[in-house]
Amino acid sequence: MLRYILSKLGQSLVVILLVSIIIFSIIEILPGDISATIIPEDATEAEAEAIREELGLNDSAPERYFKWLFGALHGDMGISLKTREQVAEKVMHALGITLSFTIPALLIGTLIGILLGIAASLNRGRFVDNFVSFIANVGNAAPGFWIAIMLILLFSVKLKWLPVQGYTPFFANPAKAMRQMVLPVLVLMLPTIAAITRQTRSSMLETLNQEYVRTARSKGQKESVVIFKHVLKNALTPILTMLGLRLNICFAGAMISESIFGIPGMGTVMIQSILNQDANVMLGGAVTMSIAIVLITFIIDILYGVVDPRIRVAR
Amino acid sequence: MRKIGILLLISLVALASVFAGGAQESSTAQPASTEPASKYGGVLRVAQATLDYSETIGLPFMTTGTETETVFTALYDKLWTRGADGKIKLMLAESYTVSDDGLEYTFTLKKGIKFHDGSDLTAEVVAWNYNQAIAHKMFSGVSKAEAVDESTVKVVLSKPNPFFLMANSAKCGWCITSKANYDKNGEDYARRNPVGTGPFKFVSMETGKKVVLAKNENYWAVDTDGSKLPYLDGLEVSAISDPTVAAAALDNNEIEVYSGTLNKLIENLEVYGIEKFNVEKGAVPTKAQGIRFMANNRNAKLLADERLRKAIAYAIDGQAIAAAIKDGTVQYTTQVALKGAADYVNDAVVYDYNPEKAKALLKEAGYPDGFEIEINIDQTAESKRFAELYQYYLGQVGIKVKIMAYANTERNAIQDRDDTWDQLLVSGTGIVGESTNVWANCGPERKKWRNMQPFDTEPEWEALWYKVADAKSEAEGYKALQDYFRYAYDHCCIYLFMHYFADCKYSTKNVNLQLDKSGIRWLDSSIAYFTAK
Repeated sequence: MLRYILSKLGQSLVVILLVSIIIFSIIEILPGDISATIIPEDATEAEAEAIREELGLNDSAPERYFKWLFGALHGDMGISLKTREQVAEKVMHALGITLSFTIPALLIGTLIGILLGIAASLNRGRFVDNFVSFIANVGNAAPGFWIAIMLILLFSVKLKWLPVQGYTPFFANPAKAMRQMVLPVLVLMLPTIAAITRQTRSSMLETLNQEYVRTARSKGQKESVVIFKHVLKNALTPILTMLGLRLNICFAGAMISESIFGIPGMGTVMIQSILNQDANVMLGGAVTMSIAIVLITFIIDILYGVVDPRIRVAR
Repeated sequence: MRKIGILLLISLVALASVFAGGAQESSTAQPASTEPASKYGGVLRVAQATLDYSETIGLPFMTTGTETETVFTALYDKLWTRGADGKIKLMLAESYTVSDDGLEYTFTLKKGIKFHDGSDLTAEVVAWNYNQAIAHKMFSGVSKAEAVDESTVKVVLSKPNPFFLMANSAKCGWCITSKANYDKNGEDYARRNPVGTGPFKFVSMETGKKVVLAKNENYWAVDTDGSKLPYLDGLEVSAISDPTVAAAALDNNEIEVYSGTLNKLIENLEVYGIEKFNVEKGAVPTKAQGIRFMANNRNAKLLADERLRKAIAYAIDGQAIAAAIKDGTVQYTTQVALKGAADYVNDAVVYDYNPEKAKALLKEAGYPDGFEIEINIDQTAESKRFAELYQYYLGQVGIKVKIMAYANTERNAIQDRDDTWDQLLVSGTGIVGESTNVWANCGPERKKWRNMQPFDTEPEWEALWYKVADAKSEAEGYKALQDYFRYAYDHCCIYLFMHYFADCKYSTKNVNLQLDKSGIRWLDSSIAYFTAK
């Protein structure tokens, strides 16, 4: 198991490094001169040159990358070209906000999806199965942006149950923070429920027909034990795979949610940095997000081993 | 199965309790008392598309933006600004003088003004602010600032600039922040905890999303009756990028005013079931929009020919375009400057819509069937909207337009790719009346640091450009600017078809707000107040 973990860790580091190189390269080949967004329009040549020198824009690309990498390894991702604040601090703060609603959305969505998937698989061909499948298909097909607007119109405008937008730090006002988080979490949760429901149903149906399930029933075990101990546990592996994929989709969806609901998370930071052509924030933000995704994927990989001992032994 | 059902039921109950956890937050806005005469009270909640510069909210000397940023005008004052009439208006300064060589501006500060933290506004503090901005390369052409005495500060320019005050009247970098706060608490703290002398003081902030301000009880300014300002108890400014969400927030009473373009949404409001809102009309426009043929490049293949440029002017019906935009946010004009401003040209030639004349000119110039040309725009929705309208009108006379949208940095590169550049540039100027900016950008001496080629302009127009550059006084400068733009308008080097309100104020149907109609500060929070229903 230790070998397995170390191997996965090594792979993760390589992935992060490659991501940083790719993103840096993409930023480099973007058209236009980044300094034009920073240097005041009426600056003289000497003033402009001084700014370029200060921000390291005169260095070559490899030089800038390695300087950045060295700094990043020491926790310093440079400063924002636009605002001169520390990128690492800015990005970590924003990431925390994004995770505060994407992780709950992912976990709750997964839990509900599993439960609905189980219900559908146990009632195959009946109304419950058809209804759940229909909901899952709609959830899969509907774009996140549309879901967000519809939820706002229903819960905020028509019913006036929830605020339209806004963000409050949890410890500043927990009740307000939770009410503001309901819609953003729902927006991310619904497609997750749809995807996990379909996957769970499919995995469960496949596993339900296995001989050991028949054996367990014939031994007189309770149905709940059969379902949760034997069937679900063996059906979990593809669900975990889906969970890993959903994580990336959740982060992408978070950008939309943050934009619509006014949440100052990673999505907001990234969009602003792109609009401002703030290369340092773009790079720092993208690498930080990739680290977060790689780390969580790494945890999921470990969970494979926990859920299925055969994977541990095989590795 | 039963356990699953119970689990689901518990989840639903938990969810319902969150939904039902209190009615919708009541509005924190409290309109003024029922007595019609009272203007005092209430918290105004404003939303705008973005909250730019909130990351440097506490350090205006590191902020490159202009004062249309609502939060900055609420927190800070400057020594001077631009009034609603387009003229210079003194704020923290009570007077100023200019040296004979035009290099030194000496300001005398008003007495007794304090920052939100109780520290005094002194010349030393002002000089420190300006020198910080100079060190951060926020200003150009300014060498230093020095405190002459307790209440006199001198700003020294590196070269004379007759438009110095006007050109810098809107920049956030000239806002004055508390040195005591910076010295005591350090830059990182000061960045996020702004302290100014403005009508409102800082309460809290979510960077990029929301800023909460409270009334400054000791604000120095008074209204025309001598009553204290501001009228409002507080101001909350938040960022809502999506107009649908903004409309919902207005309807849900979460905000009172939205600053942004809702024009497309207004047409669809019935679809969403949201009632129409008050649209602030008659405000001074905040942006100018039109086609600029940059700098009259003599080497351009097509547009060096004045007949073709005039054909373009005759082909576009600016009045129809302005009228067609239903939300009333656009007014037709043909000049960068506002009517009545010092740089407005009263006797400029106006090329009214006349497609027949346009076709005649095309034929005379050897293009009876028209020609193809590119319109270069930035990536804003407004520019695209106008460009499409221009494309339609030009197409009617045979000029086929290809619209190309570029990021701002890319546009600069494209403009300079070779000196035969033949493009129409659709763009807006940031603040109406900043014709000095347009003048600088059209000049024969482009800023070399951008690796830009100098434009090869017609000798006569070039000479007029230099007359502006060499002006020694403001009066001389504006006279020269008028001559420069007269030539530009007469010979179609620059066209302008409308001014528009980049920021439209939409307020909820049950609240009327008195807003300042300044082109600089659409919301002058120091004089805004609620009126009775």
